[in-house]
Amino acid sequence: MMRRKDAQRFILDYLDGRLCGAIRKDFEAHLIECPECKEAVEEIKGQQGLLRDFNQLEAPPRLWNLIEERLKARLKPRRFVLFRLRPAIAFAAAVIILLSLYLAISSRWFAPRPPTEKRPAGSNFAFYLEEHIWLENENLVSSDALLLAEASVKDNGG
Amino acid sequence: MSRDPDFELVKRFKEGESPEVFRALYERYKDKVFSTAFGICGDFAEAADISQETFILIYRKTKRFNFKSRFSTWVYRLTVNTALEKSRGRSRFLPLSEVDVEVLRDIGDGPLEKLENTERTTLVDCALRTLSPKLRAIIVLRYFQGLSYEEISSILRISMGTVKSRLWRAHRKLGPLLQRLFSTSLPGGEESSLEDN
Repeated sequence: MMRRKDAQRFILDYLDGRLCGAIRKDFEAHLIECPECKEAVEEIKGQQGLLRDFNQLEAPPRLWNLIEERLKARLKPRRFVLFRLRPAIAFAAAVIILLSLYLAISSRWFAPRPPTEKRPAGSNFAFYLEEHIWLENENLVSSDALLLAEASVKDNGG
Repeated sequence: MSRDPDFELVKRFKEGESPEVFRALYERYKDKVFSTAFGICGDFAEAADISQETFILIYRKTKRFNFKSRFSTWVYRLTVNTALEKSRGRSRFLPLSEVDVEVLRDIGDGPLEKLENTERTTLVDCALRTLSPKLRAIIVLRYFQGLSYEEISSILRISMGTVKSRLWRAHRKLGPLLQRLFSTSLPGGEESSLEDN
């Protein structure tokens, strides 16, 4: 004898004609004795009739135009690669560029400078004089000074 | 498994991606895709969106389709997945006033038959909207598209047992609602019972 719980599992198969042999006989015997299962069979049969009557809808005619437009847009030649960068890639690229700029600049600023001679304290005046003399010498070596020197030598008959 | 009826067309499309061949595939599946989408989401504009997405996916992915299943199974799978994705997070129940009656056209021949059919279809559609999208998908594939349990199992990638249990649950939920809707709306029904609830 089939139990109600088992019988309920077979209702859909029974209505679809998928039950056969002994199981079908047991199920039909159960239906005679169980008004609840019989009612369930009738109810689902009615529902199936309603649902199968539900006609296939027609796709709207403009659907193809929309699809075609999107496909055409997809098939257009692609833009220059930089403009198609995804935000994440673009962000990473920007970070890398900024980081390399920072490294380049900071390496120049913070690179060890050539050592300068330290002068003893109190020799600032001596240093000034030294530099001043050097500048004077430099002036003499300039082309104008040389020309003047040559002219004066000639005037003096040298 | 018998040979896929779409084999030649799909093969030709895979070879050349010709728009004409794609159009032929579109013509073959447009109503199935649209009906399935509409059955699951219950909204005309959204069904058009889902259909559009589905065909774009078909266009993009057919190259990778390797005939492990039927092409139709694959198309239904794409449609159902796209529809379920869109339905996620949406309200489950839509009131009768929001049902787009205009969509449910071309059903009968004469005006009276058309009216009766439209009303019946609207009521069934309204009842369907009380179900979760997963249960709706099962009903749509089984009854609107007339697919077998095996096909549904393959489309949804669930076992046959799960297909049957979902179908059973869907029927149990639909039963009282359909009864109530029909008793209030069809001639001779009790007008007050729906208002009372």
